[in-house]
Amino acid sequence: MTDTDPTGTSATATPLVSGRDLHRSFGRTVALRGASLDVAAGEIVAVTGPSGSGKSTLLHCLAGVIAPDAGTVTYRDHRLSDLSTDARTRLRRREVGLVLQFGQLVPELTALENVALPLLLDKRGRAEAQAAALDRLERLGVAEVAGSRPTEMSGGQAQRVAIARALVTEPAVVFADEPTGALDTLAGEQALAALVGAVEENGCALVLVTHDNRVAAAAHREVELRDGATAAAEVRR
Amino acid sequence: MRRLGLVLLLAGGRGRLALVVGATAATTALLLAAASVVELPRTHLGTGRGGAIGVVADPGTRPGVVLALLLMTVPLLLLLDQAVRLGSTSRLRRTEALRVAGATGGDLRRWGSLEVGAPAAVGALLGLPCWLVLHAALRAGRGDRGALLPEGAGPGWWTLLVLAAVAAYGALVGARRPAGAGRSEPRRRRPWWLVPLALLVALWSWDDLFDSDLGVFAVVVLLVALLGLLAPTAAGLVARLLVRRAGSVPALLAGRRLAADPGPAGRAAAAVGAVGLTLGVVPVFLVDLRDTYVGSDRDYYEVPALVAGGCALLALAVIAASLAVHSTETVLERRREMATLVATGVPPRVVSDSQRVECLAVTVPLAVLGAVVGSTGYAWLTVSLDRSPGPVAVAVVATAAVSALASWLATTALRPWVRDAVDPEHLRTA
Ligand SMILES: Nc1ncnc2c1ncn2[C@@H]1O[C@H](COP(=O)(O)OP(=O)(O)OP(=O)(O)O)[C@@H](O)[C@H]1O
Ligand SMILES: [Mg+2]
Repeated sequence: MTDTDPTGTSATATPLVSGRDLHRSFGRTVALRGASLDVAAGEIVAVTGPSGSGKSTLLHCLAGVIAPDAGTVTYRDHRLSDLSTDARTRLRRREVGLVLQFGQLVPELTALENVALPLLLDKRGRAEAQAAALDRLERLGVAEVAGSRPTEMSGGQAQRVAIARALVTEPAVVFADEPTGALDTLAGEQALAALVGAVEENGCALVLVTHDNRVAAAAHREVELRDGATAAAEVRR
Repeated sequence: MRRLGLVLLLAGGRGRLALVVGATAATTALLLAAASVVELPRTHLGTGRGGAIGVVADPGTRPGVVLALLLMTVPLLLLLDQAVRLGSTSRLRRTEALRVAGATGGDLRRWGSLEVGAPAAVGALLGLPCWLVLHAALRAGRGDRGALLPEGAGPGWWTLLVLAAVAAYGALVGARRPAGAGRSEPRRRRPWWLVPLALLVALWSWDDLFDSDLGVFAVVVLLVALLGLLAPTAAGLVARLLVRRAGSVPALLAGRRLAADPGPAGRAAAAVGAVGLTLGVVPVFLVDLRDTYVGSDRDYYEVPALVAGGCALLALAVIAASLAVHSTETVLERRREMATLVATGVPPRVVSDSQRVECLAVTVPLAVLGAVVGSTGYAWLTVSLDRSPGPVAVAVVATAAVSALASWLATTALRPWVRDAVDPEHLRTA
């Protein structure tokens, strides 16, 4: 695993992703007030905190899905706010994987097509994209649903397909927002093990939002959010 | 947040109401026009000043005029059907809540029939002034060359009948889909198109088929029926082709969406086929006319042909719009999944492009098929094909271009709503 500095945020000189002093409001609700988080390559970080503390908002800011009102997000020395919309979209597609709680697969497409989608967008040939997608599904143990639509799968299977889609582009970092929140204990544990296993196999970083202590235990480092700010002390493992 | 409000408006509420009222008003106006032509023998027969234009006054061509007017209501009824389906997700939730609260199926049907029947009744009433305006507009500037619609046939007993029928149809449509029951499972399609095909083949052995008005009329009706019944099958074929051969994401999304919910696309395709038939016939007919007739004799046919062509174009626009609305509705239903796609790096353009492909894939092939059948069929009938294939080619190419343009415009008009719906900013609320 990555060498981490025993004292603090990040070991490497330039972290892979860095969010600094992020602020974001929705109307009069302040979701983030000065949250910071650095993620090193290959690192697994758990983000915890009470409901409404801004975990999802932080994740979405770091993933470039929403823009913070103030503060900066940088990817390997590139500021997200300096990139054009198209460049940001491309970065999200190639460098970032995203796994949400539920409802992320296109219902009309088969599992295979859902996973192959990002590759097709990058002008990879149809056959190549499908082969890569099938390989991903196999590694996550859901090859048997390759031809099924999301409505024909169990929640756990759908979640693994979503994990496959997040990983198929071999991103540098995966953001997962309570990926097991909608699953029962067993399916949740299996999906989580699949996610962590795949991330370790690929050597990419993982930022995992969770309420669940057992899930947080899988991480190298735990960051707690309170009222939209990162708590000073980070729990290290 | 104001744009989100517009999305919600489109997804139900007032947009739906306006579409139901508009579609039923236009349908009523057309039905009244058709009824006034049917009623004609007892009121007026003359041509020239104060009378109706030749094809309307001539009892031989009158059934064709009535058929054309009736066919024009088809795209409007499609739009009505589409309007009724608008916002079905949120209404389905409401229905479920009502069911849990103890409402029976009958209650829901009654509620649905009122929900659509009431605006349909308003639309039917508005259809009366619409018809009068249509009437006046078609007479204006015609001088003594005869009105396009019969003069003497004012509102009669049949007016009430038409109004009641339109309102009742609206109530029926509402009852059939109690407050937006979700999409039904795709049914297996029976090859009904074999029936008109068999009848056509049987008719062919009749020697002087094209010498009698009845024969020509029967062939036209059967051709329209054949195209209409074949169209859903053809649309399904195009969808499967798109999925199988799609190298691009918009094509894949479009093909899968069409395959998953073939009903509306099939109905639209059927209407497009009929429109294509008209658009194919008109240019060949006009060229033929120019070669054969001069002066007022030419006017006798030319004006109605031009009106028919114009109506076909209008119908095409309505069909394209109803398809685009349907496709947007599907995207709004899938808002969360689509917003997630955009969040994972799919450009929002891809989502709106997929709608464009969906619309084009349904309209263009069927419009072209209709145009080919219509133009070559008519040219063959009048032996003008021997002279030059030019008019046929022009008819087909123009129909392809016009149907593509209609789809393009309709999907472009809806882009802002789609963009807003898939904005990952709403990922949490979607
Ligand atoms: N799109 C939005 N519109 C309005 N308010 C929002 C939006 N997104 C987040 N909020 C508000 O911002 C605050 C933080 O929300 P966020 O979803 O980030 O919390 P969270 O820690 O992920 O909570 P949970 O554990 O319940 O998922 C909450 O008060 C929430 O209501
Ligand atoms: Mg959250």
